[in-house]
Amino acid sequence: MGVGFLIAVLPLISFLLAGFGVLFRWKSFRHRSHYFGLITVGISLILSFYVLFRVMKGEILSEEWFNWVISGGLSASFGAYIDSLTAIMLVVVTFVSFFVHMYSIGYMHDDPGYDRFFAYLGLFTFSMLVLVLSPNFLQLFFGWEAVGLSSYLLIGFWFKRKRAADAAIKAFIMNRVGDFLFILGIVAVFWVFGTLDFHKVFSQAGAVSAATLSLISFLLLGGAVGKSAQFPLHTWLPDAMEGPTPISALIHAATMVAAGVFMVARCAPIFDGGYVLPIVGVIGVITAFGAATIGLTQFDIKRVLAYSTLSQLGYMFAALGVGAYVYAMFHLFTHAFFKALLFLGSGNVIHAMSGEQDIRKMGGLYKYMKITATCFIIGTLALVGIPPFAGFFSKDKIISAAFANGHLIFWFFLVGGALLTALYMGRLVFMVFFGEERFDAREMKHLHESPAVMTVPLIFLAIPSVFAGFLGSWFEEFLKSSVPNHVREIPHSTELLLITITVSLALLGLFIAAVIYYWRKISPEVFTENPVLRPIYLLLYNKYYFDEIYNFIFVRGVAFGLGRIYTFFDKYVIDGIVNGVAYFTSWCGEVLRLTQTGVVNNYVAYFGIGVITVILLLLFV
Amino acid sequence: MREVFFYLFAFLSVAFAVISVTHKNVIKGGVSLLASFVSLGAVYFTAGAEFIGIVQVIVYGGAIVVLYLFALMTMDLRSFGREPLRVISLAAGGTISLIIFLSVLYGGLKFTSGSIRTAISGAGDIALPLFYKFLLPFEVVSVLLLVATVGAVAIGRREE
Amino acid sequence: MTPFDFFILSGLLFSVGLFGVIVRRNVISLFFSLELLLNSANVLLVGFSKLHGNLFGEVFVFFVLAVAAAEAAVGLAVVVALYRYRKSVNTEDFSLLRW
Repeated sequence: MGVGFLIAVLPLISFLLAGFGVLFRWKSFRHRSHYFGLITVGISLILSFYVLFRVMKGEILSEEWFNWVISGGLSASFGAYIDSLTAIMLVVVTFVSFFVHMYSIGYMHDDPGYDRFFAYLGLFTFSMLVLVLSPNFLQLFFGWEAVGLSSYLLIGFWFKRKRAADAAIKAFIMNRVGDFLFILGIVAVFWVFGTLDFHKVFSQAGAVSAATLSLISFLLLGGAVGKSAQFPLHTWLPDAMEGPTPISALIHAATMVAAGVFMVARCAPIFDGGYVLPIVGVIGVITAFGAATIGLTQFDIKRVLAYSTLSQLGYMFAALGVGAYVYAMFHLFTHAFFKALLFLGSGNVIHAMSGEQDIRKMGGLYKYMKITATCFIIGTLALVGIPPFAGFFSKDKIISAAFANGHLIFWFFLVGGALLTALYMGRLVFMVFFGEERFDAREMKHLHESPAVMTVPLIFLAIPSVFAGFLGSWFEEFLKSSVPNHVREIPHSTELLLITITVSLALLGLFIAAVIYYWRKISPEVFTENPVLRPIYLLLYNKYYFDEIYNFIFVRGVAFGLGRIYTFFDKYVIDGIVNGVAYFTSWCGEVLRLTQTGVVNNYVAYFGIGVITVILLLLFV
Repeated sequence: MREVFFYLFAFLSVAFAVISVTHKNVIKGGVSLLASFVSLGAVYFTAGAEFIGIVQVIVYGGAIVVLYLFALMTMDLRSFGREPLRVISLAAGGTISLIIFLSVLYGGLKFTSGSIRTAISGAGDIALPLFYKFLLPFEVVSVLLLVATVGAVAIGRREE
Repeated sequence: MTPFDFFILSGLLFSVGLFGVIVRRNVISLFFSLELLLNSANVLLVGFSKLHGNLFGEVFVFFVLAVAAAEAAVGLAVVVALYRYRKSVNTEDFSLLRW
C-alpha cells in the first residue's frame, strides 16, 4: 500500500460512513456527512499535490494493493501506477471534487437526501481515482463501471421525478453500449498480449500487427465514445442535466466524461500502431461542431453548458485523432476548471431564480450577484478562447495541431466551432446577466448572491481558469514522459496567423452575440422565423432528431419488437412444452388406468406378457 | 413298448386337458381334468417313476378334483350364467400361450445330450432322500398342510 | 423317449393351462387350468429326475403335489365364501378393484 492507496480509499471511507449513516439512520450523522467528504477529499487533494511533486522530480510510483484474479493465464491485481499522466489527473479530480463538496453544502442544504448525496459523491470520487490510478485494464474497467454506476445514482438522485429516473437509465444504457465494445476490447487485449498489465501490453505493442492493433483500438474507442458522450452515443449527456448541478459540474463536465480521453491517451501506443486515429478525429470533429450548432438554440442554461461540454470533448477527441495526445490532455486539464466553474455558477443562478432554468425568463442578474457573474464571465472567456485565459492556450494548441498535421478539413470545422462557441456562450451570458429583467423580481425570494460556501469554490476555480494557460509548456514537457505528442513543426509566422484567425473569429462571435442579445439591434426571430432558415433552426433545436431516431430504431423497434417475439416464444413454446409435459403425464395416466380392469384373467395375461419379455430379454440381449 | 404307452398317455393327457379348459359345462370340465391327471400318472409310470405316478393319481385325482367337484355340488349350477366369450381374450391368450410354448421348446433344444434312463423308483427309493436329505422340507410341508386345513375351515365357515 | 419329449408335453400342458387361465371367466375353471400349470412343472421335474439319475426331482414333485393340494383347499374355501357373498362365480363380478 502507499500514497496512491490512501488517495483512492479516503473518499471510499466518506462513502461508507455517510452511506451507513443513511442506511441505519444514525442520528449523529444526520446532516453532517459533508465533514466526511470535505476532510477525506481534502486530504486526498493534499496527497495528490505531494505525489505530483514527487513525479515532477522524475519518479514513477508503482504500488500493488491486492490480488484480484489469479486464474489460468490471467493474473491481475489492484494497485497504482502513477506517472505524469496519472499525477495530473489526480490533482484535477481531487481539486474539483473538493470544491464541489464544498459547494454542495450550500446547494443541497434543504434537500432531504443530503447525506445520501455526499455518500454518492464519495463513491464517485473513489471510483474515478481508482480508474485513474489503475495499472492494468481490469482495474481500469472496474473504475469505469463504478463511475458509470455513480453517474446513474447521481443523475437519478431525485428519483421520484420521472424525467430524472429516465435520464439516469438512458445514461447507463448508452454507456453500456459503449462498454460492450470496451469489454470486447479488453478481451482482445488479453487474447493478443496474454496480460492486462499496461506496462507489459504497451511494451509489446510494437510486435503486433497494425490490423490487430486497429481492431483493439477500435473496440476500446467504443468504450470511450460511450463514456465521453461522443457522436453517436451523445444523447445521454444533455438529459443527464436532470441531476443536481454540483454533479453536472463534477461528473459531466470535469471528470467522468473526461475518462474516455484519459483512456485513449493512456493507450496511446495501441492507438498509434493502428489505423483508428482518423476515426477518432472524425468523431471528435463531428461532435465538436455539431454540438456547438445545437447549443445555439437551447434555452435551458444547463443544456447550453451540456452541449458546450460535448463540443469541448469533441475538441479533445479531435486532438487525440491528429496524434496530439498531450494537447488533448491539456485541454482536459483547463476545461475541467472552467467548465466546473460555469456549472457551479449556473447553479448559483438557478438557486437565485428559485429553480428556474429557462434563460428566457432571466436577465439583468448582474446587479444581484456580482461575484457569480464575474466568475461566470471569466469562465466564459476561458471557454471561448480569449487570451490570456486558459482555454485560449489549450484550444488553440489543438487547432494549430490539426492544421500542422495536415488535417485541413478538421481545422476548418474546429475553427468554425470556435466561432459558434463564442456565439452561444455570449448569448448565454447576455441573456442571463444583462439586459432587462424578464421576470417578476417580487416573486423571487432568493434573488441574492449565494452564501460563501457557494461562492468560494467559484473563486478557487476561477483562478486556474485564468492562469492555467501559462502552464502550457511546463505541462507539455511534464506529460511527454508518459504520453506521446505527434505534432509537426510549423513556422512561427504560420502559427501566429492561425492564432489570429481563431481569436478574431472568437471575438467576432462575441460581437455578434452582443449585437443580437445585448444591444438588441437584430432580433433572434430574424433567423428563427425566416422561412429559409427555419427548417435549419428546427433541425438544430430538435438536436438533429437523434432522440427520436434512436427511440424509433432501438427502443420501439428492437426492444418492443424483440419483446413481442420473446413473449410469443415464452407463451407458446416454453409454456407449451411445460404444459405439454404435464398434459402428457396425465394422458399416460388416463390411458394406463384402463389396464386395471379388476378381472383376474387380465392380470394373468399381464403376468404372461412380463414372463415373455424377461425370456426374450435373457435370450437375445 | 414303453415309448408307445408314453406317447399314448401323453397325448391323452393333453387332449383331456384341452377339453377340461374349453368345455362350457364345469362338471364335465372337472371330470375331464380327472382323466387328464390319471393319464399323467400313467405317463409317470411309463417313465419309471412308479411311486410318483401312484401319488399323482391318489392326490390329484382322488383328492383335489374330488374336492372341487364336491364344492361344485354345493353351488347352484344354473346361477352360473353364460360365460362371455371375448375375442380379445382369446387372441391374447392364444398369442401368449403360443409364445411361451415356443420358448419352452427352444429351451428344450439345449438338452441334446443324455437320454432318459427309465429306472423304476418305488417308495423305498423315494423314502431315502425324502427322510434324510429333505427331512426339513418334509416337516415344513406337513405344517403347511395343517395351516392350509385350518385356514380353509376358517375361511369357509358360515357367518353366524 | 428323449428329454425333448418331456419338454413338448410340459410345454403343451403349460400353454393349455395358461390359455385357460386367461380366457375362462368361471373361477372353478380357472382353478382347473391352474392345476394344469402345476402339473406341467411336475412333468418336467420327473423328466429331469430320470435324466440325471438321482431322485431329487421326484422328491420335489412330492412337495409340489402337497403344496398344490393345500393351495386347492384354501382356494376353494375362498371361492365358496365368495359364492355365498355374491351368488356368482364369474370373475367379472369381482372387479371391485377396477380403475
